Amino acid sequence: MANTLIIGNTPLVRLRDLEKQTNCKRLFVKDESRNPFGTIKDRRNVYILEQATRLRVDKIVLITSGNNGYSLAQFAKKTSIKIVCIVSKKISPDIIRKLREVTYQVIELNLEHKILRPEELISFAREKEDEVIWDVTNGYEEIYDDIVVELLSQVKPDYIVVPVGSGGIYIGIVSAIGKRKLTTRILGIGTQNSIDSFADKLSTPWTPYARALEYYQKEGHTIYRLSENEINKTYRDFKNMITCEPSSSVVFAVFAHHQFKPTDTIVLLNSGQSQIK
Amino acid sequence: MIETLKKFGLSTKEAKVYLSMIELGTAPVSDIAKKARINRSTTYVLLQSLAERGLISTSDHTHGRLYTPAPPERIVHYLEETAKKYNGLVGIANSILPELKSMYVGVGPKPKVQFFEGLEGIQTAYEDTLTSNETIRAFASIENMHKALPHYFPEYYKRRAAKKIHIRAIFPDTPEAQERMKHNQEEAREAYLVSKELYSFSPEINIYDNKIVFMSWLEKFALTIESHELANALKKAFDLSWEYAKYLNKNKKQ
Repeated sequence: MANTLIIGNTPLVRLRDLEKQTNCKRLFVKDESRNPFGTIKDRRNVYILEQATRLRVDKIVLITSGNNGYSLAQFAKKTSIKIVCIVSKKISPDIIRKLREVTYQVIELNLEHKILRPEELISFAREKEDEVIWDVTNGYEEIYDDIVVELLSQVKPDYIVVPVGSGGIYIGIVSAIGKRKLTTRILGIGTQNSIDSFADKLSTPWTPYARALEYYQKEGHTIYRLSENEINKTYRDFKNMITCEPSSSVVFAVFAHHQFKPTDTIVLLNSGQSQIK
Repeated sequence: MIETLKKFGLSTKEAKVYLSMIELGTAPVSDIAKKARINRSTTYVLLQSLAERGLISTSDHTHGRLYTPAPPERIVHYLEETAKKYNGLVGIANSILPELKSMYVGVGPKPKVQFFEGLEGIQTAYEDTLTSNETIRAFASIENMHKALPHYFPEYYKRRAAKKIHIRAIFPDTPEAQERMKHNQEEAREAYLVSKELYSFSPEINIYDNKIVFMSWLEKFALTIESHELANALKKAFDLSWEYAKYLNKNKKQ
């Protein structure tokens, strides 16, 4: 799959069995695991590399739990851009080893208690004074507009359910819906644990999107936060239904939290599965 | 050539000094100043600025300091360095964008304030009242209005009534206001007169939708504020005044 490098246009799969169980009119999953490196972040990484190549960036640095950095480094192989991953000291040695195989540098830091600003991340990656270095830990969420375009060409959902970590995907989708003045509501599923959740990609001690997340909830969108037990149970129940990981399977927990109408059309966004473990 | 160098970020005077040096080669400040036709003390400052960009170099000799232009290719390198610096800043801007966007969306719409100068400006502000989606609440001084824009108002009243935009107004009790009250029905107006001695005012204040418009007839300007919060507060203040004006008028009749 990675050799084809076809980004986006991921399949929209109808879950007929689950429709019956949940009493929904139409239930789909937008399967982002079908991107080249198995993650929704592939879309963003290709977009970032296009921008960075255009502006002759030498190096890109980001905080990653593994898969996002891996995806970025794989796409960057076709460029001269060096990828520097900043990872938590707590992540597994296997992930660090696999990241080292594809990236320019992996820097292990204690990420739990300190919020690192872009300038600090750039200074960690800097080796030469005149290097052009970008931090891409957050931002570039406008690329998720493409997902909404793809969805609308096939279905007009009443709800789109997305996992919420820092909130970039959620904000990207909400903005795309708002821009088109659609009535579709976005339901986010996050964790109650900001550190060390089983859904590791969703736990974050800080997010630059905090105020926007708060604002959009006042505008009628919703975010549900799951306990660790719920995350574990949801993953156990649904891991065989789609290619997912704990952080992406959380969207299936929406049925335990949100009261849908029998006429609703719902799209669950499967953000994908890590290719390095 | 100077215009082209200005596009590279040099000021007119820096460009003149740079071009003079390119022609002179190594030279003391006095020669450079003379050729560029810029006074000597300013030339020192400009040379310092060009040196910081790496476009010239300096060397000290027994007769004083000499300035040497870098080879012309340096200007290309300088621009490449500048471009690199800005490309790095594009990355920084993108990385702080989520927080900026979050702050921008999180605070909701900010009040919009517009200032209109002169009688024409006031007229522009009045024209906007014809977009109102509700009854306009107004504190108005008829004689000042009519004195300032004698030809505008009769026509304005007709246009407002035609658009079925009603107005609820409180006027200081003057002969002009009394005359206007006779046309209340045809001009879609409901109004009360209040004591000129106690409540006289010269400006007009209109409140409608999410807007508050102040028109100063004496200082000749209009100020429009767009804010739901402020407009709602002032609408309540007007309603209170309206009730009191109604009470005063009822007592006056008795």
